[in-house]
Amino acid sequence: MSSRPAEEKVITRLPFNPFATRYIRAGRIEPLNENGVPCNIEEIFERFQSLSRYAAIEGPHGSGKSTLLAAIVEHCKQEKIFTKAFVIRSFGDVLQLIYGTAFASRKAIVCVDGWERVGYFSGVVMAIARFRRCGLLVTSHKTTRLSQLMQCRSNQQILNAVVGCLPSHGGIIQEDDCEDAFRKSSGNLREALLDLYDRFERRIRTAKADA
Amino acid sequence: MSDPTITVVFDQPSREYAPRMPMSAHYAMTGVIENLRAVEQSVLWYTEGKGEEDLGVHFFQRLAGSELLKTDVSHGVVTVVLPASPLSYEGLIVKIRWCVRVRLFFAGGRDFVSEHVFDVGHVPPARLPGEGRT
Amino acid sequence: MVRFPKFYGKKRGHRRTGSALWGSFGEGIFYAMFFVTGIVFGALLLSGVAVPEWRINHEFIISEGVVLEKRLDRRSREDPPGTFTQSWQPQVRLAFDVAGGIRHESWTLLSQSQYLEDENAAQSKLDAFLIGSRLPCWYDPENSDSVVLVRGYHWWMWLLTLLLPGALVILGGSGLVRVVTTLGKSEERRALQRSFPDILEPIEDIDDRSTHYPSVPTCDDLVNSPGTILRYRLPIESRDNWSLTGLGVFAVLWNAVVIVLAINAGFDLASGRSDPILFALLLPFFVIGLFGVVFFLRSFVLATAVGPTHIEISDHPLRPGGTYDVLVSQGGSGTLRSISVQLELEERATYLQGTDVRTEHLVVRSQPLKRWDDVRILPTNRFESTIRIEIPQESMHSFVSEHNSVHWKLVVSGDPERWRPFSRSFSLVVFPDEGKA
Repeated sequence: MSSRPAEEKVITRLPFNPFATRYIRAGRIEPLNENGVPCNIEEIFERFQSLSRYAAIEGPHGSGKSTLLAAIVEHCKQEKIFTKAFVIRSFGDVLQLIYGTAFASRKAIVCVDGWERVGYFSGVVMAIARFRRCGLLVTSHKTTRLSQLMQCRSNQQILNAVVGCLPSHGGIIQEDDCEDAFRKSSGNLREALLDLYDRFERRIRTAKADA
Repeated sequence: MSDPTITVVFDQPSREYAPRMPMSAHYAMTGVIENLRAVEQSVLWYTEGKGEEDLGVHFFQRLAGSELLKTDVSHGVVTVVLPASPLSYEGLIVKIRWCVRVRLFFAGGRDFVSEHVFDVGHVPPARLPGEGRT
Repeated sequence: MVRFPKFYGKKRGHRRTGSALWGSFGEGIFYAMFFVTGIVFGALLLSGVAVPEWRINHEFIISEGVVLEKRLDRRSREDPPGTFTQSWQPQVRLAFDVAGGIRHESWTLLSQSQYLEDENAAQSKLDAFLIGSRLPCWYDPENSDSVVLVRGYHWWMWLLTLLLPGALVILGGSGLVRVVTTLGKSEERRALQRSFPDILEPIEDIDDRSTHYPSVPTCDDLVNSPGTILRYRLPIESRDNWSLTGLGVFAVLWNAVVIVLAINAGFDLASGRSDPILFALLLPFFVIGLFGVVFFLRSFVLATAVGPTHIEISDHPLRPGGTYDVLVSQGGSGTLRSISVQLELEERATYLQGTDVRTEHLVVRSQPLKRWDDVRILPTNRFESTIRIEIPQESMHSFVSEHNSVHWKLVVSGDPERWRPFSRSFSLVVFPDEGKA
């Protein structure tokens, strides 16, 4: 067992905040389905294969698209399936995606987080991917021209389950907080978790001051 | 494959150190440590909070190959003189933590990491905005 | 440089485990592709374009040619399918003397230009050459069939030769070096490697006061300006200045586009033509350009109407528990309802929000130091006052890393009678307290 700080006898003046970016970023949390149960990645990957390896994970902001994509990439790595992952934040990333797809090997899967930012070049990337016969798996908060692999949706149950998967918050965060954070963030799980981060910081400091 | 267990005992039971002070931590491994390819011991700080994680390594040692065979890696001591900064900090959106990290590399590329936090300096936690007004 | 995203190293519960080797291998191939493409592309451009052009200018031999014959070479192209477009290239046949006085004849192009789609334009170019006329020409001593009438360089061709493959080689090469140096290495080992360049810094360049404090920002920029009364004058944190500059650049560039469009529209009108799309574009472009100018001028007036604020300090860097004199000086003219100084500690954290990068600022300590009411300032008489500040004992020191930082600053806030309130920040560097834990 590794001694993660929250569980060990750690001499810090305040408890660790389990909602810190370190614990909640994509790739650190398991993707969960609408019932808050871990997704069956193998099943999802098989469905991706059945869609001729051209598909999109769609859903609104903070609904777990990047988390699911990261889990699929991780699955591919374990299965020794070559992937090329791109996060699109700028036009430079789009160029890198185009070049990367052009030189991708035929069995590779090109994974793109933030497909909506590829804009008019999405057709170019799709054409290159088809020409190169490599797979294409993207995330987008808009509807794409690719087959839909999964429609990610957030709900209260998922947020509660994510909170349950994180290191212990020691009862500092209540169910009401999760509900309130979810409502305030209009269903954006990432925003909700950052909201919970702030609540946690406020609570532990208030509790310390009261003590 | 079950994971090994790594326990660390610091020379200061409170795990609180002043900057530029020597720090010594004794670690011991139990459990499955077969097919071990390398062991890395490091003393480092990392940030935790809302921002992406940054880290700075103060001490690093890697045992691999013939060196690993010659050494009994099931336990060891990490001794360093701590730097003057950064000090451990419990901010609201930025936190700085110091730790001793032991990382084991197994055959096939799998690795296992164990992290043990300690404090450098004595900076009180940041107060909530408004609370800090004097 | 854009970095290859890393999805591996997944954390499960209390441990993080995974194999980065497979990912690094793919990443290596990825960058190698860029590198090789750059080299190949560069070599092709160099051998196909740059070297021939250089040879024409340096190795071709001058001679006098006589125009024997001329023609328009026609080329047909099917684009889109079913539609054929024609293009023409003017060519002349020259007779000229090569080395040894041998007479040689060869067809040549009038220039290095491409085929022209306008037949009349190509014909008029050709008409300028009269049969029997004499003109200078340059021929290749290695192949006399290769002869040109024009020499010179195409700067864009050289730029293309250097820039495009160069960018690919740099991108691929640097990525490859990074992959090779980090292959199969833990994040601690990589972080250690990143700190190696520090060792290579010349000793005399190292500020002795700050090298003892890793991750504490240096205060070189804060102590290079002497004060008039106290030791140092602090530079202002100029986030507003950058946005003002950005606004100015936008206004200039946008209106330049509007002017070009307007001139084109004017020429069209003068020649009795009208392009409805151009006119439809012009109006919204003009409105946006006008708003840009007005907004910039307003921001400029607001930024400059209130006179400059200066802060001087008796020592720098600061230490927790230390007390320091601070001179607050406000220029300009008019009355300020109030002016105040605060000492602030601000945390800044940069994180990814989906595919966006966000930076959050949070003031975690705000200590009002002094406030003055109804301050009259004359152009000849600045407002000046000295106050004493104390950095609280056991305070956090200044800290900076790639995505996180802790800043100390003095904030001067003013409320002018005729303008909107302003707030100006001056960075401080606080070194750690090295007391006992």
